[in-house]
Amino acid sequence: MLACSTYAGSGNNTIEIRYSLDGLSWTVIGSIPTEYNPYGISLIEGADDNLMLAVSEGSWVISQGSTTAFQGPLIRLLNSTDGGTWDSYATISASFWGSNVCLIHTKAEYYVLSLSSDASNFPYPYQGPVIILISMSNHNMTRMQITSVNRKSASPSVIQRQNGSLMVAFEDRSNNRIAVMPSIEWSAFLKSHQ
Amino acid sequence: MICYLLSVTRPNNKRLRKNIIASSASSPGDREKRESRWGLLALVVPGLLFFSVLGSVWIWMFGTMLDVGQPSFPITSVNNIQGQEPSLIQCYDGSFMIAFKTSQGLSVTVSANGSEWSPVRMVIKGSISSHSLVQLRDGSVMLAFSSYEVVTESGIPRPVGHVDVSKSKDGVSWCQPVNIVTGPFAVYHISLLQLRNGS
Repeated sequence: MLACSTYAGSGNNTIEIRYSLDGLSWTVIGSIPTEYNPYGISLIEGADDNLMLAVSEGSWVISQGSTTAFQGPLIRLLNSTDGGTWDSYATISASFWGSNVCLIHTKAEYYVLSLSSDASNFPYPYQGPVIILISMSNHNMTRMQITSVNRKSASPSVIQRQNGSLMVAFEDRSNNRIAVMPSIEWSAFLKSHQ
Repeated sequence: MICYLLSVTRPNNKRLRKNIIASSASSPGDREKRESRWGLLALVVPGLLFFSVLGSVWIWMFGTMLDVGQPSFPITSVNNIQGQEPSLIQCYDGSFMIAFKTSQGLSVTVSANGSEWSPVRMVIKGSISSHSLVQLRDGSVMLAFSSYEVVTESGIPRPVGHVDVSKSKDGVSWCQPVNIVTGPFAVYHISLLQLRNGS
């Protein structure tokens, strides 16, 4: 299964879902229009063999040749049983913006969504990464800052390790290097944010 | 401020009182020096107290906005690698792999423990806009990556996007990329997934 966010001219943004049995021949089985530019996407298989798609949308506002703001930052979570029809699962408020998003299904009762950045820091929107915990039972979302706010960083990629702890790789823009947080122990992580 | 007023109007500190008694028995010059020293102290100490209280209020007020006090976790650099948009997976054997963009293309690095990483290996050369790394059920890893170019037809420029995939059994040798998508669009991001049923 492949999700692909595309831009084909103003107002023509789409996320296409493709399906393949052999990895070579792919068929479009779903198409999701987006209001703003669909920057980041992350496709996973959920708890009940459903599909979950996280989409980061937004558009830079350019006035007289310079970028002045970011319009409509929005993270949408979509749910599907077949990849063809998608329903809204949750929407994360516009106060966050992450050009790259990464969604995982954890062994506990949460989905974890990691975001690049926080739009409230415009024009320096690279402070993060931020992790959003999404409760599967009631769709409630909790925002968690996992690095110092003084560390400019972006593009987090999060996994749950085989031992249950979280691990995040990201761009450390303070040092212009790829960095990892090798082990964020899950229970301590939850406890530290309660 | 209250501390300051108390220290000026009511010197109840024992040592201060002793100094005041002692000063009454000494010469007027010495007394002036001591009085000016204590006057200075009476200004500095409450001043420090005042600013520490002010600082606490400031942190309390603005700390919420700045997320001061949020926990941080240990961070390690991956071999001082300069790169962008890492894509991290843990393989079935417990090892880790990161694919990331560089100015020259796509590279990968692997690690047994998540802390020490192998030398970087370039997998794809060229301008890459997005990529996605997964391990397939047969143990091999698949890297999907997108790129686009602008072509001009009848004087009108338009984007042409591509998505390609490459596979590897060991993370060292990678198959020649195979194109799976080409279309009249720019590709922002891609996300690749193998379902539990194998497709």
